[in-house]
Amino acid sequence: MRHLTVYLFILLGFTLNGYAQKKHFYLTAKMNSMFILDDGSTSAFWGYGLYNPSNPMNGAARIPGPTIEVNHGDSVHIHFFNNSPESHTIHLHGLDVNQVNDGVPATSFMIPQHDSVTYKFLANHTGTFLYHCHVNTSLHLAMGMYGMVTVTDTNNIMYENGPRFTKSYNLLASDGMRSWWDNPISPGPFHLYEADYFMINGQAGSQLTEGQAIKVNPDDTVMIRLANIGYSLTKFIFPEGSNPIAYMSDGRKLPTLLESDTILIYPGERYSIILRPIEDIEDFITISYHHMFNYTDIGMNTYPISIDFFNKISENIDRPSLIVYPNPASSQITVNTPLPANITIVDVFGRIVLQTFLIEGANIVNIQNIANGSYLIYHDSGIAAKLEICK
Amino acid sequence: MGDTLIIAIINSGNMAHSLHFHGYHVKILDAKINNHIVGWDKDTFPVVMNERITVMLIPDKEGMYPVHDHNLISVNTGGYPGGMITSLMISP
Repeated sequence: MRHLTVYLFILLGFTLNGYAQKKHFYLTAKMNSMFILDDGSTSAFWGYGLYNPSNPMNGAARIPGPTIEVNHGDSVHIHFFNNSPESHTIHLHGLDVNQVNDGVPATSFMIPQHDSVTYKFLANHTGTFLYHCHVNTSLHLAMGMYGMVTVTDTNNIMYENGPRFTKSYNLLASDGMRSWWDNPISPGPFHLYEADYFMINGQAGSQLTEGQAIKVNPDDTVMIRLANIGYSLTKFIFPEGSNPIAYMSDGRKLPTLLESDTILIYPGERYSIILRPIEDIEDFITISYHHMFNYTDIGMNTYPISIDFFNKISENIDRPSLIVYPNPASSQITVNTPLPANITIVDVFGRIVLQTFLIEGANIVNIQNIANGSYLIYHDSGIAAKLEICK
Repeated sequence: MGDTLIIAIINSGNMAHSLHFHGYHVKILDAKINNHIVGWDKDTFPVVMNERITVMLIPDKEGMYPVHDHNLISVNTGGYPGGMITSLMISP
C-alpha cells in the first residue's frame, strides 16, 4: 500500500508538473561552529552548511546558511543530514508547504542527531523566502540556524508579466545576542533576549566592504531581495536618487507598488525591489535595527552601493539638471533642457511610453495619452528625472 | 477546505508583533494603522501596538498549521512553545 501511494504521488506530480525540474540540495546542521565577529573576536554559533555526501563531516556551517536558489516550477528536494548532538528541522518559511514538510516538531517531526530526511516542495511562486530550524525556535534561530530561499523565473522576470531584471542581490538582516552564543546551554528565559550584534548576510560593520557593493552599471536593472530573520524591526534606507521600487513582498506581487526610499521590514517579512536610479551614486544603504518594544535604535549597518548607470553617455562633464514641471502633471509638461537631445519616458516596469526630441531650452511635451503613475524621464546626455502623472 | 475564513487581529499589548502563518498566505482586507498593506497577500505582517487587522484565507489543503508571532521573544511562557502561538486546523 505504501509503495502504491508513493507511485501515485510520482504519477500525479509528473502529470501536474510535466515541466518541473527536480533540484536537489544537501544540507547539514552543526552546533560546534565558530565565526569571526566584526571586532575580530570569534564566537560559537549553530548553523546550516552544505553537506558533502563523500565526506559527512566536511560541510562547514555558516551564518546565514547556504542560499537555496531554485527556478520557478522546480520540484525541490532538500536532503538534510543532522551532524549535531541535538534534534533539528528545516521550516520552509513562506513556501506554504504541506504539514509533513513544514518542519515543525509538534505537527511533523524532528531529525535526531546523525539522522537524515528529505523535505520536498514545489516552487510554484517566484520570490524571496526563508528557511530556519523550528526546534525551540526562539533559541535555535538566534543561534544562527537560518538561510534564504530564492525562486527565480528563468527569463529573469519578477513574476508573470512583471518587470525584468538583469542582476540580483540578497540582503538578509539578522541579529544575535553574544551571551547566548557564548552559553547556549543556559541562555536564560527566552523573553529576555536582547539583540546586541547586528548582521547583513552574516556580516557586520567593517566586514561589509566595498568589494560586496551593489553595482548598477549601464543597461543593468538590479533587483534586490530584502529579508529580515532577526528579532528587531529593520529599516532599509536607500540613498536619494537610487529610487527603489518594491514590486513584491513575501513571494507575492503587490497590488500597488511601494515607492519609498525607506523600507520597513518586520521579523520574517521579505521584499523584492528594483532600483530605478535617476542619478549616479557612490553611497551606502543604511540598515537600522529597532527594538520591538519602543522602536529604539539598537543597531546599524551600512551596505555599499555604486550606481554608474549614466556614465556611458557623458563622461567628465558637469551634468546639467533636467527641469520638469509641473510635477505631478496631468496633460502636459514643460521640460527644460540645457542641450538638444532625445528624451525617453519609461514606466516603473521599464516599458518605454514616449520618446521625443527636444530642442535647447523649454519644450512642451504632451502626456495626455500616458496613464496615471510614476515615470522616469531619461535624457540622452545621461541625466534623468522622476515624473508623476495624476489626472 | 474551501471555507472562507475571516480572521480579526487586535494588538492591545505594549509592543509590536510580526504575525506569521504556516501553510498559507492571507489577504489583508483591512488594517487601521499600517493601511498600506491592505490588499496584499502576506505570510508575515506587522501587527503594531493598537493595530486592528482583518485577513481572509480560503484553505485548499488539509492539515495543522501553526500561526505565531515571529518576534520570537513572545513565543514562550518560560519555555518554548508558548505565548503567541496558535494553529489553523484544516479538515478535508
